[in-house]
Amino acid sequence: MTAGVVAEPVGTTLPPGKVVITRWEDGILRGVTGAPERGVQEPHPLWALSGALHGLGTDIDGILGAIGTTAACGPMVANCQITYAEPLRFDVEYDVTGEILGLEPKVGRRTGPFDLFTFALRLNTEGRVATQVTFVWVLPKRSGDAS
Amino acid sequence: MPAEERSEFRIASVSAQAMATLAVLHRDPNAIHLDAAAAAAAGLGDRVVNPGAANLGYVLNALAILAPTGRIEQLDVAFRTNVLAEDEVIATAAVEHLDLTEDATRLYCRVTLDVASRARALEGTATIAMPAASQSGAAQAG
Repeated sequence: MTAGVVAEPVGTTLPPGKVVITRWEDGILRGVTGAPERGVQEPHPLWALSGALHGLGTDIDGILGAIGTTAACGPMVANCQITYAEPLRFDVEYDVTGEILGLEPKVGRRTGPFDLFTFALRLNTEGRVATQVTFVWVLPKRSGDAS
Repeated sequence: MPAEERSEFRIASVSAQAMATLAVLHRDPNAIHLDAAAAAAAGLGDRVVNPGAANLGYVLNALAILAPTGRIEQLDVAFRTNVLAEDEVIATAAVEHLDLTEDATRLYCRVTLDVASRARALEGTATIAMPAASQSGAAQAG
C-alpha cells in the first residue's frame, strides 16, 4: 500500500488547518467570479469552499492521496452541497476540517469503471460548524487500475 | 403560494486567467484548468476547463441578486457538463415557493447554470432565509 493511503478510508479525517478570510482576498475571489465588490458586508459565500481548500492542512492532491490517487486521474465534480449554519465573517480564524465520507466503485456503460468519492470540508469557529461542503467526485479509473 | 421571482447572472466570456487565479487560491494542481493541451489530452475539448467552484460562484451570485438581504442556508447542485474558457454562461435562480415562519421567510429556489447555445452545466436547489422584517422584492413575491 502506498504511504498515506488508508485501507478503509471512510471516516478518515483530513489534515486540519486554519484560514482567515480577509477583505483583499475576498476582492480577488469576487473578481474571478464576477461578483460585485462595492458595498460588501460579508465574505462571498463561495468562501465556504474556497476557505476550506485554501486552509485545509493538505491540498487537492493530498485529499486524493488519502485514497491512493492524485489530481492527474482527472477527477470531475458530480455533486456539491453547501450548508451554511451561520454567515461567514471577515478576519475570523476558522478551523478547517475534512473527512472522507464514501468511496464507492461503479461501472458506467459509456464511462467504464470509476469511483464515486464523497468527502466533507468544514469551516468551524468557537467549536461550531459554520459551513460544510459535501463533495461527490467522479474519479475515472484506467483499465489497469486496481479497484 | 408560489412565487415568480427570478434572477440572472451572466458572464460574457469565461476567463482562463481567472481559472489560473482560482487554481492558486484553491491549491488545485489539475492541469485541465491551466493548460489547453492537458484538457485536450483528457478528451475535454480544446480549451481549459473552468473549475467547478467557479461555476458554483456564478450561481451564488445569481442568488445574491435574487435576495440581496437574504442569507443562503443551503445550496445543492449536480454538475452536468464542463464550462470552458471563452464560454458565455448564464446562472439563474428562481423562487419555487415561500415558507413563512415566525422568525424568517424562507425562499426555496431552483438554480441553473447554462452554457449559451450548448448545454446545461449545473442544476439544483437553494434555500435562502430572509429576515422576518425584510421588505425585499423576493420576499414580497407571490
